[in-house]
Amino acid sequence: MMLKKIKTEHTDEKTGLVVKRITTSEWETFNRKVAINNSLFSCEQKRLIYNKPLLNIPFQIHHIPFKKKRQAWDFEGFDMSKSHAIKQKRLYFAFQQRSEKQWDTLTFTEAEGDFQDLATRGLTFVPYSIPKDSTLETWKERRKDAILILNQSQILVPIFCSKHDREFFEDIFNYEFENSKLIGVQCYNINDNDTFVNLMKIKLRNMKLQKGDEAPLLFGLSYSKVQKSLSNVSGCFAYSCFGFDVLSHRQVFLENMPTEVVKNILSKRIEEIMRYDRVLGGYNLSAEQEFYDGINITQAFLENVAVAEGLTPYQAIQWANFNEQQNDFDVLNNYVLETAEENKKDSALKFIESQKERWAVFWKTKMPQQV
Amino acid sequence: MVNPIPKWVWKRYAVIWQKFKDKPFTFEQAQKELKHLDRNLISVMFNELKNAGWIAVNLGEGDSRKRVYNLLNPLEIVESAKNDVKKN
Repeated sequence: MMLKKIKTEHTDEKTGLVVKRITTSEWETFNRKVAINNSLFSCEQKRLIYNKPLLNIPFQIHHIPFKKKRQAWDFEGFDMSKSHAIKQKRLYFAFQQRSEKQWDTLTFTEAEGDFQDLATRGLTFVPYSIPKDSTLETWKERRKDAILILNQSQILVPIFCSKHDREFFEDIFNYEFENSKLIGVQCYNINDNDTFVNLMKIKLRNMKLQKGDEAPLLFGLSYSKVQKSLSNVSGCFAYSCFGFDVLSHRQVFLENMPTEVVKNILSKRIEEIMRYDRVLGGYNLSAEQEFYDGINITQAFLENVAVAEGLTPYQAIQWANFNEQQNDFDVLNNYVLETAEENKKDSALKFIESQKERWAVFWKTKMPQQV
Repeated sequence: MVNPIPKWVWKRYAVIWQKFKDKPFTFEQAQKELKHLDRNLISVMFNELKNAGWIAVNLGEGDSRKRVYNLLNPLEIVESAKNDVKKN
């Protein structure tokens, strides 16, 4: 599967949201896609055993965990997810999921080593994490060297930390916006000033795209699935507001956690699992559903899932969460495209501000409002 | 003049109307009724209600830093909407 082009289909002036058309040798699709991540891949493996259909999404992202005990990146499962993605004709991307602490201490020596390691593992899209304090000048030098070790079919993918030094971020990002096909950003808390300012710079650059322009595909990575400090709005939606085209939330790797925490996670009851609600555009728990709707929606949903579907209750919820968020994105894309019509300039903005409570609250409190 | 409110605001309005009707209440009292919702969300909701003319905001008696809210009666809203239509 070869990535051929990414073109701007339409930019909505009111929201700054952009629709991009992505063309590969196998398929063509629009942006705003929730990628298959490690946990959804596990679900799909189970579904395959039961001969059940898989998710209809052309992007698969593998988050490479860091094993604290061995102090090394863990490539177990990497080959399997890659070959699965190839079979499913998906654009496959793998990257090292760094914690904020790891970003703080990341140097070019380490970043270059990690890049070289991945370059030799048969990846088409090879991630290169850019240390937080890099300037454009230092990055350009490193970038030049890095490209030399890639073969003709490989593409360098710069990975930023959303907490990159504000003073240098815009220059490097804009440079990459002009020169890269794919750009990744590992996103941390939106309430953090550096993150917010950098994300706004991404949005401002992205919304300058005009119909027909070549554009890079922006990968929003490692953010929190549920934005708990922002009324439980979906992380996918929150980060897509800043221009990200393909989204993959932070993966939880139990091996690195204290035993007590692991026990807690594994003993979670249905009432404690958050479910995406399309009416809200965010997540809630059974107690909230019962209070407002008089019904435990999560439980009701599980009663309708057949065991033969091959998923555990927790996985069934994940599966449904994925599908419903993607459906919401598809609807949003239609509204954004509609704004090309003269009498429908407001339709995407109206949809966000009036149809889904959590989307509306996020938009009104975090995104700059037009006067 | 009153304006329409989004459906999500209407759903929350209904919960506090059931409790307070047109009696005055504070933000904290509303928060107690709107279980599971954070301050951020309730603030945006109040703002929507205020902009649409569905809620009156007054200064608290004795402590003018506090705000006291009064919901408009849904029947008054319907009447007002009818009159607005007639005027136009």
